[in-house]
Amino acid sequence: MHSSISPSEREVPDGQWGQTLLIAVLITCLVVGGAETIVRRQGYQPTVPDTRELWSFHRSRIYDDEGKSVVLLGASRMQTGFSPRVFRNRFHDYHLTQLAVSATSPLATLKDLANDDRFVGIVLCSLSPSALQEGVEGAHSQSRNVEHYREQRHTWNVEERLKLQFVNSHFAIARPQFRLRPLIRQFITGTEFAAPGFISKQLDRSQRLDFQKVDVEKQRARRVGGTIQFYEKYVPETPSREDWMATARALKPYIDRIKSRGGAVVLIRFPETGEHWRLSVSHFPKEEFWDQLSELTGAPTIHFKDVPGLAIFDCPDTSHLDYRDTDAFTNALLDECVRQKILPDHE
Amino acid sequence: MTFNSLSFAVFFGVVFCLYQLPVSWSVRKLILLAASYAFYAAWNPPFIALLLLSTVIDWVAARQIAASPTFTIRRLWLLCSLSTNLGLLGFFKYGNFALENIASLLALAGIGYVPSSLNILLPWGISFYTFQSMSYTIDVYRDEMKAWTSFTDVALFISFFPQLLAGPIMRAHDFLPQCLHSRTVSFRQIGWGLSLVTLGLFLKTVISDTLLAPVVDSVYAEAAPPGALSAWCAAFAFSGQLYCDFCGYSTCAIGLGLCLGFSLPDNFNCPIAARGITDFWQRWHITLSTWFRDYVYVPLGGSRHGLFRTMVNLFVTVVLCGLWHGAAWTFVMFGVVHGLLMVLEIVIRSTPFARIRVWKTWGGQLGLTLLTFTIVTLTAVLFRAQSMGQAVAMLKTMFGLSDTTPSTHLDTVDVSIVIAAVEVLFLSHLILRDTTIEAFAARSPRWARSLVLAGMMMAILFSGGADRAFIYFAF
Repeated sequence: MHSSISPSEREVPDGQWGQTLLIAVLITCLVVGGAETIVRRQGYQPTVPDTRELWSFHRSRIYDDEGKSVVLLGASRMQTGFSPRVFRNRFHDYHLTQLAVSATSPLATLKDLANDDRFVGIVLCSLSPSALQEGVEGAHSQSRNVEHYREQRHTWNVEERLKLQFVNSHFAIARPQFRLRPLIRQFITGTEFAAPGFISKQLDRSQRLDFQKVDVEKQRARRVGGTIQFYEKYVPETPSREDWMATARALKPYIDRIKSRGGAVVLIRFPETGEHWRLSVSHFPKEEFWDQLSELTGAPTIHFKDVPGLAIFDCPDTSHLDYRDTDAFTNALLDECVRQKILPDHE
Repeated sequence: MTFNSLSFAVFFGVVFCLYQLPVSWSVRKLILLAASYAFYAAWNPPFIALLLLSTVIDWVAARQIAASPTFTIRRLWLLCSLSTNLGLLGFFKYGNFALENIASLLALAGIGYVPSSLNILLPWGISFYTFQSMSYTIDVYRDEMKAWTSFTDVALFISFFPQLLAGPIMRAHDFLPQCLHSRTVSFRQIGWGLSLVTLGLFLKTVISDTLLAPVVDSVYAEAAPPGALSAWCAAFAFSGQLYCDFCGYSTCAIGLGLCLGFSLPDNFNCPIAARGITDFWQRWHITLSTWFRDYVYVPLGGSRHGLFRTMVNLFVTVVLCGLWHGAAWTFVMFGVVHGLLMVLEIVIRSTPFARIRVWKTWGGQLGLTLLTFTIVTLTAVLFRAQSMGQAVAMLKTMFGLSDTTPSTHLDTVDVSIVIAAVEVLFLSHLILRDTTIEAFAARSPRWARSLVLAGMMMAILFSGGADRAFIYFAF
């Protein structure tokens, strides 16, 4: 498509092109607005892709001159079970950063924070005994996130941030399943839309699980099946306590380094129920493993079974809390942190 | 920061508002210049030094050429300009390639030389702005234009952000006169400019990135060749992807230029509907092919020294044009094949075979168009392949000469998408072949214009944005 005129004389074709464009924008807004309304009525919610760029962005914001920085580490339980809103309401002078990554071990990030002399703050680290089992860290490490941050931190992608902040956080139709290619594929193959998911991911990297939107029985079976596979792959019937303790002891220098700068590390055992809990205690009896952790690492620990306020919650899939329980759970957890003098008593 | 990004939308909005401030024309040009450098720096700040170096050298060289009374001094300043620009281009673009090939040649001679890798990062758009900058001093040297006194104007000409990274390659005599007086922009002009931007983004994000690129990538990512149908599909998909990617960029550039009151030249004229390779190059990347015509082909003698010399000159020009695209043997081969095809076309045109009436009929013309598109598509395999080996393997597969087990088979959906997208492109080029987009737009009903624009906007929004950089940035 070309114009026959020379560049210095490029003409605008006849017609009210300003008006034409405005009408087109109006039509687009109406259609997009309509589509957004329809998909929300179907139960779809905005969701923010949890990318390494987003993790790196949050990683770059953990610094606080007064040391009032709290970093959350762990895996999906920390992402779904801890309510940032509750924390901010109670500790509004603290800067909270969610660095937990679903289905990973947090040790690489813990070590990275320890080696970062600029970081002064409190680390709330969700940990399962199985995370210290030989082979787990290698296969489920957060090291790729750390590497990505180290490589990319000077060129934080503004584009990504704009998209996440203004598009993904606000529009349900920005979900991947409503993109053009999947839509065309669905049109050609005649398949139906996938049901609205029960996970909603936020810009602060927290996640909400709404178990009312999912078949809980199926979800539980899937979760338990995955956990059994995990144990079969990584954890022997009777794991070596000495090896486990050596791994735990190896964390002490890192935790000490954070403490030497005026910070703190707390190791937290999030709730598990049903088959998940049975598997865990059968392989890693609490008294033999978890209860030794504080002495081995030098970090205070919080186990949900030890705190009445934390032990009352049910995990619909045996491993994660429903979002309706997270406010109460977070309050109870923060109460325990205050009781152990990890966080100040603002009341 | 590319045109298909939200950050660019914010950037352009801010620049546009600042540009509308009631300040003098000189200040408004400075705003554009600062914006252009900021735009380039957004990718890699240190590389603005190269842009500035090229600009300063050419501004000084042009002034010295104009002021010098003697031929020798004029020539020395021209050499200074050419060596700076070609030196930058040579080092950053061809440094590693040259080193690797020197080592290979020495190895053939039995000399073991293992060069340490230069690990050079290619500055985006360097092939475009060095060519643009050089053409200015050459034009002044040839007395085809005066040396421009305003450094701001020359700097803006070389760095004007809508076309900085991938053209259209402007000529100084087209751009600099536009800097003389304040550019007024009407609401209608902005409307048309943004309509062109919408069209460009639609070509880039929807057709190229969303519909065609995933198919191409899935086939070319495999080490082993795909099935024959998949290879053909990927080849045609890449033809469409390359066109939509590059034409999309150029169309956006023209539209953005219009919004700022500047006119940029056309870069494409329905190349998919070309009839013959010569016709193709008159329709594809027009500003590059005319650059090579004016600064390589014509100085070599053009068509002034008989048929044989014409063919040699043409061949050399097209091979250089191929090499311009990238430092790899696949691009050299792409140029060689296109050069040979153009020479062959000249030979055929001089035979009675070319004068058979059937070529002038509707069917004959359609056949020539399809044949040209297919040949160009086959040569584009060289363009896309990561090595000569992959290109040869892909071409062998396409013609059923491969004896390896196919690694990839595209599914029905992908094949359908490619067929539909390429057919639409082919038909639209056939319809628009002998007209202009302006004339076509002017003829269309008002309601249809808004609906088509709205459709394109929605498709862009729903494409999701794959965040692919424009292919030609890498050239």
